Amino acid sequence: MKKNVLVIAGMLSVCLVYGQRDDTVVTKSMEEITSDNFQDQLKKDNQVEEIKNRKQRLIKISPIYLVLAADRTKAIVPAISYERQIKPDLTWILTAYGPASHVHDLFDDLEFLPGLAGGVRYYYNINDRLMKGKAVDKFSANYFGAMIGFQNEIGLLNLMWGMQRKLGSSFYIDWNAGFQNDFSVLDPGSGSILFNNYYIVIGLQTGLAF
Amino acid sequence: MTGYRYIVVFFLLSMFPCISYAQETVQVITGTYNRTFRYSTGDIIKINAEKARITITGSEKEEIIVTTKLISKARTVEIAKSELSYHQYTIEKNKDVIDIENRIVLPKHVKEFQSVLFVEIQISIPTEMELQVSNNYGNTKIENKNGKTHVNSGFGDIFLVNVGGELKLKSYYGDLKTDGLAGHSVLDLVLTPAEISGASGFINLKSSLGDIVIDNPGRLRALNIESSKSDVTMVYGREQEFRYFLQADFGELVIPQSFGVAPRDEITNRLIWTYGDPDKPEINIKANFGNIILNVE
Repeated sequence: MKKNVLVIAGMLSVCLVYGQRDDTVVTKSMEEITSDNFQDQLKKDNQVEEIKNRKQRLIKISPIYLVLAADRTKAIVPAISYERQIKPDLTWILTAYGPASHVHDLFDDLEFLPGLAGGVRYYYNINDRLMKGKAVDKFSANYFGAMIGFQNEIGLLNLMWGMQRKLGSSFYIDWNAGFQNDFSVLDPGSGSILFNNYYIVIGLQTGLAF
Repeated sequence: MTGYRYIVVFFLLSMFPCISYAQETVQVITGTYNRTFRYSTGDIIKINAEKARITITGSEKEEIIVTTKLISKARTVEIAKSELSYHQYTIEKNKDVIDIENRIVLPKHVKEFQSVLFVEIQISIPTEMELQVSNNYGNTKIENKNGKTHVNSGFGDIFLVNVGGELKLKSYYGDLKTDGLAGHSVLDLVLTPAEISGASGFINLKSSLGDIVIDNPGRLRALNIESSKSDVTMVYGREQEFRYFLQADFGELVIPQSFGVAPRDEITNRLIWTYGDPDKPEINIKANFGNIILNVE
């Protein structure tokens, strides 16, 4: 930081020897300087403090969760997720889905298709964001993730890249894009599984986060 | 005024915002603590700090000299003075252990910092004294040190100059630069690119997500590197001084043609290169998802 700080005013030579214990010498001095990055440094320090005290889990309630794919576009209302830190940049996540509907029939053709999915996320730029003084709480960073789940007796396998950001103090937005495979368990006894073709899917959810 | 002059005036005026941007006046309060201890053989110094710029220098003197500056920068003197108290600094000697600890603690009723707080710790210790340093969000520099040295750093850079003896170093997210590393060194690096210049002795290095450059190795007795998602580059002047075993999984091996031996495919996506007499010091590098590059100048 020294290189960014230019001393322009003479030192106000207030040196007060106010305490001495054994061979400890304590002095205080005061000076006035100009800084061209004070605000940035202060912001960064407050972000560091925030991550030190960061909660290691996140509960997300999404009133609407849009899943966009070629012929499988649907809206899920609502979705509830629980995300927990394994390491500073690695989390596991569990999502419970509520009723689902095809978007063109939204709310007219709502089916109760409860589902559950779980997976892991690796937030690859969380440290870079921290060092740049950007928000990192509520797992606000970019990620690679893998999810596996079931909905309406169909298995879902999803590999994705995504971005999650906090909005204000209580809200969040999370969107991701990746490849999904809807697979079917043909015979639970023998464990034979039918994998279909992978297709591109985009997920978007926003809502409350705490 | 001609058109040419208008252009010159416009250009000069347009420079003013660039010159005067974002500078502001800041008040700085510094509390300086000096402490000296006599050294007895077997004494240990432990430093546990955050947001600290630590400089530790080995000396021939039989004493430990610690100078600590607690610094608070703010827009007003009142804020700087008030928040200087957020530093929680202790230094004490219990039997043969000198403990230095600094924490910056935001009081519960305070929402956020209004001042930039950091610490500068300068320590002079006997070269053979055992040293244990833990520093988060700050840089650590160690010079002219032998004996046991343990360093644990997070979110900070590390500079080692002429450090020998027994070194154990862990770093998470920072940069590591060493010059004249000697003795036995064990380095565990995550997200920490490293430049290791003029190293000698024994080095065991693990790195993940941080490129490694070994520059001009001196009298290396053995070098073992296991890297993951990182490139390893060795740059040096003499080419036949070592016995090599290089292995790159899902990466490239770049070997100068002057060696006359090309890498071979061991299995799919694995390249191996071996070279040199068995009696030479061994360089053993295994890279996973990264390249190994030998560069003879």
